[in-house]
Amino acid sequence: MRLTDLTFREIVRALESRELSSRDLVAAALDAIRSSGDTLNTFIRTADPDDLLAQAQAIDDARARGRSPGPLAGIPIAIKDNISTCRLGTTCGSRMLEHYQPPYDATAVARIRAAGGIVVGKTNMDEFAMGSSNEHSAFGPARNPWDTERVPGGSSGGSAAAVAAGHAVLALGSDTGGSVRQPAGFCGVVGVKPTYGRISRYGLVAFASSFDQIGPMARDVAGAAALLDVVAGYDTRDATSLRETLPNYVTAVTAGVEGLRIGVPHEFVGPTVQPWVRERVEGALAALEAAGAELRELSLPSLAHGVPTYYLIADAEASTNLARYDGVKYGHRADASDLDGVFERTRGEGFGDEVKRRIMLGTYALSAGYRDRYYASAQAARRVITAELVRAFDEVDALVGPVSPGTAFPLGERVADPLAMYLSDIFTAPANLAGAAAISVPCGVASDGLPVGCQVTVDRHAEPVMFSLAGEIERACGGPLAPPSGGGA
Amino acid sequence: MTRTPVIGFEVHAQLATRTKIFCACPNAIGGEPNTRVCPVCLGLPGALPVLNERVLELGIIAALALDADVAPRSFFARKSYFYPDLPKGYQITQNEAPLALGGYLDVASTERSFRVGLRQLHIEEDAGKTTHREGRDSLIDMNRCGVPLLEIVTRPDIRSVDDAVAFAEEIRRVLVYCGVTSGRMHEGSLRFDTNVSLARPDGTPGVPCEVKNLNSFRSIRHALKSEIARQSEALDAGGEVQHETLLWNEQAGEALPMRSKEESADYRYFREPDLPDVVLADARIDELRGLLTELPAALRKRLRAQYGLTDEVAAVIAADPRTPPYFETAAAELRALEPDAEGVPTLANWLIGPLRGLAHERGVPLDAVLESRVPPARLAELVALRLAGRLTETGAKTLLEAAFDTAEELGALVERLGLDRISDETRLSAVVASVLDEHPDELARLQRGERKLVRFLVGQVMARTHGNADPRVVNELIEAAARGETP
Amino acid sequence: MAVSIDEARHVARLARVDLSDEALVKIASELSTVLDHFASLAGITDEPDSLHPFEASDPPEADHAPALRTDEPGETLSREDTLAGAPVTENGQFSVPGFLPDES
Repeated sequence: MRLTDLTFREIVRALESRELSSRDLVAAALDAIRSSGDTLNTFIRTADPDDLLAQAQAIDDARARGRSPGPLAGIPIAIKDNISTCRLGTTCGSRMLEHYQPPYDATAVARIRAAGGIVVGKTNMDEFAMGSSNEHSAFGPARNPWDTERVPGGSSGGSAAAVAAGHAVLALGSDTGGSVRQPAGFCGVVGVKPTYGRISRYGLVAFASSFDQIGPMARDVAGAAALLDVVAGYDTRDATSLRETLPNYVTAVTAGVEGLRIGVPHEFVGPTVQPWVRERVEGALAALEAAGAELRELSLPSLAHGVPTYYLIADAEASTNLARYDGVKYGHRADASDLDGVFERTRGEGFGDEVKRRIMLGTYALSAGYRDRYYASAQAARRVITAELVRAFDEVDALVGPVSPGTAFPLGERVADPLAMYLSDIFTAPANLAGAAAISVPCGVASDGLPVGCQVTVDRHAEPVMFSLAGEIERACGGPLAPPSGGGA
Repeated sequence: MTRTPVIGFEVHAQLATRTKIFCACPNAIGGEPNTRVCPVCLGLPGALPVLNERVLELGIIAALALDADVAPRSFFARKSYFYPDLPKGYQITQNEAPLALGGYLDVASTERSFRVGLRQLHIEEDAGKTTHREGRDSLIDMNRCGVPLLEIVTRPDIRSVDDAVAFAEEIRRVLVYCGVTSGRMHEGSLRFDTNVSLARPDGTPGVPCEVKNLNSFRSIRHALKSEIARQSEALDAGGEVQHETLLWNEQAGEALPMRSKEESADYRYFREPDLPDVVLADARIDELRGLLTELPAALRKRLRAQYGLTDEVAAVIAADPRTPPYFETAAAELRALEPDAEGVPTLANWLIGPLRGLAHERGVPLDAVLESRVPPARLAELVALRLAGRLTETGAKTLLEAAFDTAEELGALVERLGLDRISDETRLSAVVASVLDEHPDELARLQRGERKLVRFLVGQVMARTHGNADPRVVNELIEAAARGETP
Repeated sequence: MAVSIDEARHVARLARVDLSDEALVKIASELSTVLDHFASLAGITDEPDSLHPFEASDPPEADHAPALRTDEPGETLSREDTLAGAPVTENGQFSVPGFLPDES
């Protein structure tokens, strides 16, 4: 059997009724990894198969004894390699941390383990989460299970591809400017960026502190909601984490969309969007209308500034977040006879080109003489964009549009053109700027044979509405997708 | 030409909290290197800072004690620079949006009092410690990373080296008194950086230089003198003073230039995104203001005025927060027993002299002494006995020791140990006669004019009476014998 | 807004990233392209800024408890864990090539 044969609910029911065992699930994951893991290059490190099967066995035994072993018990889960795990290392897709072994688990990982989840491996990613195609990994690009000559998206490309190809049932990615939603769209799976502060960042290796959020990924909306349920919630170790009591995300998925007001911003369906993408998204919108939602057109002109605003602030924060990689305490260390040499060569050797580019941009934006023109203006712009979105959410419950202007592009097409790469984030960055919640849910396969992701963006704390809309889109589009012939095999 | 020095300070005080500023590692000193760190203070990937509430409290208390305005909203920023003992490559500091602005400290120096204005108080994290070794690799201990620091920046209001040292001493007193810092400078819990320039003849300020890393009052004095001399020499020779930052080396007894930078540091400050703003309600500030006890300077003044104590005695009592309440209770008890206000200075002397000395000698913590061994009433009673003339000085000291070591009533102890002062002339005459019989040579020499033998013979009588003889009476009797009058 | 090679070199120095002359030229050009595109940001609002407190999307609620920690000691890392990933150590301390104390 393949993990992509079943929905999340079906898996949970089958485990509870003991039609399926955890061992079966883990074995299916291992089979899929064996058959397409190398081609797709989804993982940087995988756990020892015997160890995984033993974990699964332990959970099956507990179930057999009548114990209820946790909401994610026995479910194979993949973790993006910028999320700290005590075992399997945490490379962030970089030479800098190639051999780094954290002495602690991220809070999200600890919660998954406590819920019985089985971590199958650490997924491939753009180095330090900087990228939109997973081509900037020090360990080779990951590939899209729908077409292995195409990118899976980034930076959480490995996680998206792993879920799409049945290497895991659920995955964690991270989203700073769209890094969970865009690859989810490209790979035909579901990816969530929750409200900023919803999931603890303790253990998520920082890229841009005021944007980063861990993002649950799954083949279907119910799976993503269940995973969010487990990892979300206040953490004393993260001063930016939210204290609100959590609503029930899982029931929201089937709550329906009657009476919800949906905004379709002009800026989200302009000429930059490929016609075959627009077609699928319009189909989703029509389905929502048929199900009782009300569609409204609106304009959010400040969104045009979303990408530069995002990049300047994110890279400024990143330039400081990555200053700790200096060869002194952990990670790569270059040979040099003087201190500055150690710093400069370690960082020159340990970081890839894209990371260096971003560090340079961020440092420049903060440097004396430029801070006002770049960083300060970007902060002001952020406030304008945020205010415009908040006002929009007075009028509508959600904004719906494509997650990306196009479907997955070919490997190598944009890697030499940083600006083109940055513009991939045009629809996703606004949610990160405002701290709002957003989800990418597949809304069909385009005429080019590739999946299309539909993005639903809601106000902060409005995840239940987001899940209801995504659930309806998924239903209307015939349920979760699977790549042809299992993907990549 | 004498040029007036213009001096200011940056005071760095390690806050007396149990844990570090952004993590739960113990805030302590000593121990093996790299044994008091965690992912947060070590700067591991993915770790995040969370502010210690006690750090905030102590910062506010210090600000209130120094009359600074506490900002209702302050925040932290990242100050970026690369340094091996700065694990994140940036320091989290409130430098740009401090906890409090303004404030002042009044300082008494020799004959006068002067005021030093403050610019700001802010909190920040300390960095680790680097050991530099000549011609070898430098070694880094991260234990000190994340220790909470309070930085107090003064205005350059100080005009002499003596005043500078007096300021340093007084600010230490205030901070220790309020419980903000331990003030143990030899442990590094209080460090000073100074900036000093020489005023031009027309009164305009000269170019300031900084001397950093002053960890004792002695080094402050030494460094300032040396820096003033250096600048004077340069100006006298017709040159200019260049702005420099110097590191004070205690062993070498000199300030060495720090590594020069090709360009002045660009710290690229921006608001720390991992920490929410510090928002303080007025109610909270008032609550903390209520915790502030009377500060040393005000206390000293009051002790002098209210109890007639000298400067020195008042200063000693005020220096330790445990002694003033004890002293005031004892003083009240003494006044009740002996309504003679002049006895209180004597009480004060007994407290800071023999009682504290005895505690130290016996190795008993002062708290225990003041609370149970010799509570205020007990000391007052003892001093009252002394003042009433019932005990000699020696006798009183003996009684103190006994009162320290046992729980017996003082009256009973006096009797049991035979400490009553012997003033009865008849009794004493007998003892004097007996002593003179035993020392006929000495008596003869005394009568011939060897004055120093008075002391010897008096001493003999005192010894014979275990110190309880009234020395005045014994002296008179010996003098009479010296004159040839038979007892 | 062109970024000169000298500026790029200065920024690389601030960021302690070793870049060959060739790489500097390339990166200066890339930064120029990107920043040109981003020039649209200037003047988006009249607000002055600098280190203004960045207001989160929601203004902090009056009764939202501040994110503070109690002053209670917790677990530290063992020395072994602390030094486990260290590239160069000596006597339990991190080691770097010798240098003079820096102004900081």
